[in-house]
Amino acid sequence: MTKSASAEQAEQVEGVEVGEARISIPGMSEEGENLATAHEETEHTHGGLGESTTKAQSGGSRADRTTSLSVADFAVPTGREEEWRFSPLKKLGRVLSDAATQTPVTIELRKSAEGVTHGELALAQSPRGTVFSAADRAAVVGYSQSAQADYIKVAADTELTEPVFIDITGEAAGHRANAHIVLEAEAHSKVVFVLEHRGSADANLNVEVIVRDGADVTVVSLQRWDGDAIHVGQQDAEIGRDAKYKHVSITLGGEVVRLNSNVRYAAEGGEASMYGLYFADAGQHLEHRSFVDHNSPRNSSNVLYKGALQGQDARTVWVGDVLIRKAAEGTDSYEKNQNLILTDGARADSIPNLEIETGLIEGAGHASSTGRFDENHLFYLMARGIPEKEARQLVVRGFLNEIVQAIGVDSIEDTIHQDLENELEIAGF
Amino acid sequence: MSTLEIKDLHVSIETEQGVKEILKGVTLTINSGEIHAIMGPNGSGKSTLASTIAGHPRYNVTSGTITMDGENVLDMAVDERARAGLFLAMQYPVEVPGVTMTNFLRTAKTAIDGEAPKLRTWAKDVRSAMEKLKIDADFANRNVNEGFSGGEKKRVEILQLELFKPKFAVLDETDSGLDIDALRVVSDGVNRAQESNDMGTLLITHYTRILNYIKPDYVHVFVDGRVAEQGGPELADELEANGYDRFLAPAQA
Amino acid sequence: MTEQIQREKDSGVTSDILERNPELQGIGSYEYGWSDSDSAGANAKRGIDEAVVEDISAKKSEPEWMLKLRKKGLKYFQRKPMPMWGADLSGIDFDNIKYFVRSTEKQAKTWEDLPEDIRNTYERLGIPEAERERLVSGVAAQYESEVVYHQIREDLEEQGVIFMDTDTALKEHPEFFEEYFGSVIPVGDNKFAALNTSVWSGGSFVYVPKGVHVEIPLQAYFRINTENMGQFERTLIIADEDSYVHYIEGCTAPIYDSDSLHSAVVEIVVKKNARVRYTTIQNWSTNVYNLVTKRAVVDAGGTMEWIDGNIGSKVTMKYPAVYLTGEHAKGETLSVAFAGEGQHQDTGSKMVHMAPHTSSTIVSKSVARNGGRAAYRGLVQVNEGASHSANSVVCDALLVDTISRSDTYPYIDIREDDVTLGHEATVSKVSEDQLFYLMARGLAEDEAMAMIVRGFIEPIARELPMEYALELNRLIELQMEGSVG
Repeated sequence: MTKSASAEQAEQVEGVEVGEARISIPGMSEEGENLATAHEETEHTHGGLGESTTKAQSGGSRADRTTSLSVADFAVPTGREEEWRFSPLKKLGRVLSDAATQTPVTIELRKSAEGVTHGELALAQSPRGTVFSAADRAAVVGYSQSAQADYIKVAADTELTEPVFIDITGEAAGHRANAHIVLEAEAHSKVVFVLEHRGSADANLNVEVIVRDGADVTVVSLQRWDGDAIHVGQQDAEIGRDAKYKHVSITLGGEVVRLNSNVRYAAEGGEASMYGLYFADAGQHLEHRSFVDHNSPRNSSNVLYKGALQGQDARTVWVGDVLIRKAAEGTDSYEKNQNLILTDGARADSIPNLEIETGLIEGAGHASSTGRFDENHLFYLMARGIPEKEARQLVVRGFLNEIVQAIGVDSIEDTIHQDLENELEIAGF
Repeated sequence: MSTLEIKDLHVSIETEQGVKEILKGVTLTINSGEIHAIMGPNGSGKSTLASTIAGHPRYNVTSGTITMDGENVLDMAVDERARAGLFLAMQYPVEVPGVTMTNFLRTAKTAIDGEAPKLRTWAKDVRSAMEKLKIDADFANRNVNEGFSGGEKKRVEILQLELFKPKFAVLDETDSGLDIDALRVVSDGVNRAQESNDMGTLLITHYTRILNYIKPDYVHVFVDGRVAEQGGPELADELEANGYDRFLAPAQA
Repeated sequence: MTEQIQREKDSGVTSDILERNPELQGIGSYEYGWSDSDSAGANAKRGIDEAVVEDISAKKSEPEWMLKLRKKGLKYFQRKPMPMWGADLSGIDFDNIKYFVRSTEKQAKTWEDLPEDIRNTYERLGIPEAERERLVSGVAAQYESEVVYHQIREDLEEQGVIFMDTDTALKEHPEFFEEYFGSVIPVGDNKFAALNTSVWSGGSFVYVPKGVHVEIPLQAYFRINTENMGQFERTLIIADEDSYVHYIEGCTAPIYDSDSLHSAVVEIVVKKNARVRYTTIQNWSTNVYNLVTKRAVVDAGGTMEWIDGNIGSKVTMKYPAVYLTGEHAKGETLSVAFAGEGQHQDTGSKMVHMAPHTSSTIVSKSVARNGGRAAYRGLVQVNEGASHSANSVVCDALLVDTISRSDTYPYIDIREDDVTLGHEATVSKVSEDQLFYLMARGLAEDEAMAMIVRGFIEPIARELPMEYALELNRLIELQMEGSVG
């Protein structure tokens, strides 16, 4: 044990040290753990375990978290809040202020299709705000600063064979851009929406997805930002009776990306799948938070996020909340997060929170793993004569591919594969 | 001498599509020492009959009676039935994590007999019963059915049959999933229990194969929730030769 | 003989013990709920301020530096906010608590020397008997604020093992305290550790010299008798190189209408290649707030094992931690929590990997019933440089009815690429098929339910010494009584 006693710190009574130098665990002070080195923005310590300096706003339960469309309900975060404690607030300051758009992002439908309409919705104009409710400061200022929302609707019984591509392009790095998009799939329609983010901006972009009864909706959110883009967003969905919703978030670009993907149910028989894939390079902070609110009976959810990290200070955060409320009998739910750290200097946080308020469930579970490779896979492949380097490549690609496959749109899958190849080349995979 | 009597039994279950009647008037009498085989195609309600006799909560008896020596079995809870001397060897025995076979067997034996078995003789009884059924000694320390193969689970069911000495045993497709050696071992176990306890047996099976090892006194053909025909062992031979077609045609008509 | 061993491995051993000891049967509801007359406690001062802290220190004739630490602790306690996460602590009234209750003037050397009411208490708890039967190699009994009895086997004493109450140890072996007290859990670590530092009294001190293996456990038994009492014992265990010790603590309290507070601090120093096992079976009555800070620091090759059973209390917040500071150090936590009506068990563990080739496991099992709330809250942190570290966390929760709840908050923080981490959790309810299977074999429904629950926690009960495994199973049976229908 090393004692970090220095002359300045020495504080003695009758020859016995009574100051900081008593402490035998590196990284601790008289006040216990001091993890400030990892959080240069705040002096806050890790919440949750033993250190009562945390001043979390909520009691920790997801059920108690404030949601609102009123800016007054959310103070500017200090970094001590449970939902902000991993985020680089200095860099996010520009998108957390209650400020108007400087240079808007352009939002365009790549091509028109029968049964698909593109219009606008004012602040209080239904269905805007019927599903979306801001869960943090970022979401509420983005919402209220977007006077007109883009409203893309798919008519009832329309089954689209081609995805609806929505190109969202940042036009000026460092310029604040707020936007709100409402996606509505009317009853028994079937559609794949692809939100493709490119360019650069200080973007505060929220998405509201209304999945009516019996509809089958996939939303793919592709973050292919330039290296200096900042992106915060909340993507909320409500799933109708017997409807299906698949959300796939793929984050490759951007300096800081922090996305909240939330799901709840309007009735019974809904099915939600939420997938995520993130690849963080040096200096990138990619944060994904998902929340499945099992608020009504007999719905199912499955959450799978996978991440890869490489380079100094590559940082990813995944927080997956699943709340099975008292009323949600017959719920079937699972969530999993896996991270592959490819080089030194990267850091991955993974928190699968599971809260269950009723025993009458079909099943609930969660899993999380972080590491380098599954050595068993590697061994198996090498035992079949595949050289180690190639075996590693196979393992890494196989790991990431599970999410890419979930998109189900060939043209996007191909481009993502190419992006991933480019990423992997950096670390020599 | 005991009698298990089933009279005009109607049983239904609740499904997503509503209530479905599965047994549509089953009448059957089994006396001590008798072996009754119930044969029938899949979905005819054989397993429902077995589970209903044991009292599985999924099955609702809508009318009819089951009595044992005049006592109303349907009034008894599941465990009361077991203590009264009914045993069901299940088609799919469940796993019970963390509970060892040793613990489970002793606890059940104590519950059935109303007193703890004598430690010394009990351990010997278990050991010798396991040997006869060719169950590896280390199973005793494993958790109930956890990680057992299908055949192992079936042998363990028969082990219980031998140890608990019931008055009546219902064997629900005990032969399914067994190879010929295992089938012989299991059948021998049933025959031993039959002889030593003067047990009444209801043997539910899809195939005639097991009847080469366990000789039934009566054979009942089960179709669409009721007994379509009954007879002696010769009925099984006829099924072996001609299958169930003869019975299915009128049921479908 | 082999059969004996065989049977003892089997969880069914409980029923054998019950067969041989029928007197253990027939236990009513919470059986530790009686209270003794309370003359000492009745006069004790309520509330906390600097005078209270000075008074405790003066009564104990402590060195000046300890008073200094106590005052620092008070300052941090007053400054730090209540935790906003975890269980509801709003019921704690710090002004109504009695921080120091001296129940007898001097420590007894034999049970006979104790005042009769205190002696009766421990007889009823079976502690002297355990000592007579040599189930333990040393006993400490704490009643209210101070240890009233302690004894250690002579052969251990001759080998240099020290086991005594913390107050006496501070006087007789000040060198250990000057170096280690507050070195693992700093004065202001959290609000409740700060409170403990300011008003601590009693607890155990254990020192095991190099190479000494204490084969039979040391045991401490903590009892609160006074209503609104705050018990703040302080335990320090130092296992020198290549040594081994197993320390067991049990806790009970009477049932009163208003609440008591138990806020202990346990610091453990595990030196090179040493191994410490610390077992707690906490069965406080359901009006005790149990807010405990436990932490071990483990040097190269050492092993720390926390075995933590939480059955009682109104609220427990406890996350035994292991800081793995040397290469190849190991940490292990096995915990089981049982939350019945009105109880909130917020427990878990924390593993911090600070050196290469360190490993840790956390196995947590919880059962919630009758409106109880059980949460697993844990942190696994792998610091940069702690390469080739491995951790696995498995938490399983069993829900017995529809009104209870189970939560899992597993924090995982990785800053090193070459590590293997895994977390798995399942929540299951007792299945109808399992119940049916057991009932079809003659077990009554509550017996069947109790068997499933015992099976569920068996992997942890297996790690306990026999009499504690038995105790745990009995407690669970009590908890499960009337759980059906």
